[in-house]
Amino acid sequence: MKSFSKFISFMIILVLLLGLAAGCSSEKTAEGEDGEITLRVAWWGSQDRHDKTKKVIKLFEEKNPNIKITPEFTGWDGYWEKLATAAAGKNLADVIQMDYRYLMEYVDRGLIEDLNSFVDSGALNLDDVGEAYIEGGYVDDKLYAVNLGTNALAMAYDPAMFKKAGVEPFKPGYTWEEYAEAAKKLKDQFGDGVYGVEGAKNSLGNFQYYLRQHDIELYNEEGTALGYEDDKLLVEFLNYWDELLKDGVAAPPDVTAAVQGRLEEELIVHEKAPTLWFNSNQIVALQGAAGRELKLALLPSLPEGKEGLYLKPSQFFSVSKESKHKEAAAKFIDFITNDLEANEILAAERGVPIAAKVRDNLKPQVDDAAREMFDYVELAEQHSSPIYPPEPSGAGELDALFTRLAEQLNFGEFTTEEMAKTFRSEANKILAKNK
Amino acid sequence: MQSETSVLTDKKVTKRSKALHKGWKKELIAYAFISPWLLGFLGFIIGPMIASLYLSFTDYDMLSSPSWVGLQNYITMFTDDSRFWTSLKVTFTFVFISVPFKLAFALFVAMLFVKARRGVGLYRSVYYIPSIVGGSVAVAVMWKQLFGREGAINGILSYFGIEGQNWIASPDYALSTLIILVVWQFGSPMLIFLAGLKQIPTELYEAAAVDGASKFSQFFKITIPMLTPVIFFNLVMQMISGFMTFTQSFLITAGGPLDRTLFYAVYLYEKGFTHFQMGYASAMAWILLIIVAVFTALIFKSSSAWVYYESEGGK
Repeated sequence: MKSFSKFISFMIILVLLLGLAAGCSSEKTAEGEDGEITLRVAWWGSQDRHDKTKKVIKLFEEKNPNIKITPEFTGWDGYWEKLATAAAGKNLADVIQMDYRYLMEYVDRGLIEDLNSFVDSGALNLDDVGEAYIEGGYVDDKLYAVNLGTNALAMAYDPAMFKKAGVEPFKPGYTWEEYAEAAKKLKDQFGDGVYGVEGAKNSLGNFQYYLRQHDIELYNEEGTALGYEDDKLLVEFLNYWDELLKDGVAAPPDVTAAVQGRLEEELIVHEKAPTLWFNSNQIVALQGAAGRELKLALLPSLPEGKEGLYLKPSQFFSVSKESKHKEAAAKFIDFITNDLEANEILAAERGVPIAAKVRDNLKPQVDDAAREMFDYVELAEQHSSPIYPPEPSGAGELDALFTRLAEQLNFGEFTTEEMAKTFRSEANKILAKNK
Repeated sequence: MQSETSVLTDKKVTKRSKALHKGWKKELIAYAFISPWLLGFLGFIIGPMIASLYLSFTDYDMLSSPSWVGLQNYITMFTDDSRFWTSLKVTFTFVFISVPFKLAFALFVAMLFVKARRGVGLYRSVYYIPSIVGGSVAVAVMWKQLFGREGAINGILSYFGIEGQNWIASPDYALSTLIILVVWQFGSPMLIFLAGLKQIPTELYEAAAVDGASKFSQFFKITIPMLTPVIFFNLVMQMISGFMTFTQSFLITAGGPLDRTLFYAVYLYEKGFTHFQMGYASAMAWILLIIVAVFTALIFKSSSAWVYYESEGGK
């Protein structure tokens, strides 16, 4: 009993000390002396991005000695939760990294600032930026978000594995059938433990691509319901992947579940699959993780169909409405957009830079993976149709719903028809809230 | 400061009210001493609870101000949300399996450590460590490694010629791996059992041994009955924390695969923070509070039938 009570008092002291330490370490965020401004900048990303961005922040501080920047960074997981909590507490960072999917949620609620006045005043210089690169950030002619890099849906492939299996790299215009045939051939070549497809890629983004090939958008114009009337297309799309899964060409769900969205764990990194569907800017990080040459190809096309691809702002910087230093925030965004040295450090990790001079300066000096991305975005531009309007509120929930239902399908708890029906009713329930 | 001025005014008041005043002052001093806790309790527990009760009747997305919807959240939950029922099923399964296992295991280990042997203090500390690091990210990562496709567990199994699988990504086994993790964190009930075991008078065992009682019947006729107050305490505490389990599922399986580890608290978090439905999440929190309250009350009610208090003459 004695040792027990001793132990308890020891624990209490420990807890109190820890509490004390936590209390002391809170940082000072208020304005410093002699007019020094403190700017908070928040972003999500990989370790690679954190390192590069922090270096650029240092460079910015050197060139602007009266501005101090406090970085706030996390991975994609948890970023939006953190941001929403900060918004509820009226404590958003001055500059926040924004995603196309969440843009409308923040615009609708008046949480981010229209930057047009800073463009007019010259604090934010967009003279060198082409229309196609910046248009995604406008809502009703107001500039709410500045694109940090352009990317597009893409397929990474391993040229060595293709060569070994005697499969030609995909040429623009190849069809869904040709893709499936190639996948089967690759699977036959490598046998057990290696797959022709890294998993049944029935994610909402890929289905959206398929819909666009049929000239249909995922949402209706008001964002209050799905944009397609007939479940036939979704059933077709799901059947395509379901067959590959049942034939053992696509990796089974318990294998793909272990990846959990971490690029380093993707099957292609470990030579267990020859392809990966993702966003083109991720090639830089993917090649780094794999440590060997990977290339980019277009996604399969639909004969007689429309171009489903689109150039997408990979991410934006926005300025929060309650920021006290909007001018400085605009200046920081201008720096990221136009400064040559800063972009040499960033090395197009967020996607192809939007300013023409920056692109021209960067292209000859980037590494192979980034050059592959530059070339791919140029290729994708020729095979693109204009991007869909910013997604309505609830798009994130819809995405999670689709992923969850697809998982049930892949584990065999659903037929494709059942999944299409369930998705429609649940999705419309979520979107109906926007009425 | 306050006491000085009150001493000055004290002189004028009558004896009777002086006594009253003194009592009141005493209370005030007591409250002053617990004020750090009191402030925390009001500010961080009662305040948020009232706020969440209000929010549970609203539609609140955290970004814009809440709008009153009456009982809508509660109605949706019970009539139109199958995942709510899934999460309840998962949580109940988890609590009803993990708590008895954990208590049995904790008691077993406590029995091993109750006798003074060499180095027993060290063992006690070592076995307590899992409970300290329990909710941490490091343990979650380790668990993923252990139970993954190429993890240590499968390594051991393959030694016996059994082909393993990715236990954490398997709909059939994911919940079990989390139960094992929680049972492994038996440290705090173990310590409490240990304290309880040491309170049992050794004369009882000596007398029983003289009468020829076996170790087995000693355990069931002496140890267990004498330990029932401690078992009762541990049962209540572990059940409550079982219902609130969050970290293990959130970090290791993220509720998946196929919602098989979708604990109530994980679903609540998903609704509130991932999909910005804070009103709905608040309503869920109140339902959980009611569930826990009901189960705690049931255990308390049943305690008179099985908990033995020596001080009450065996009542």
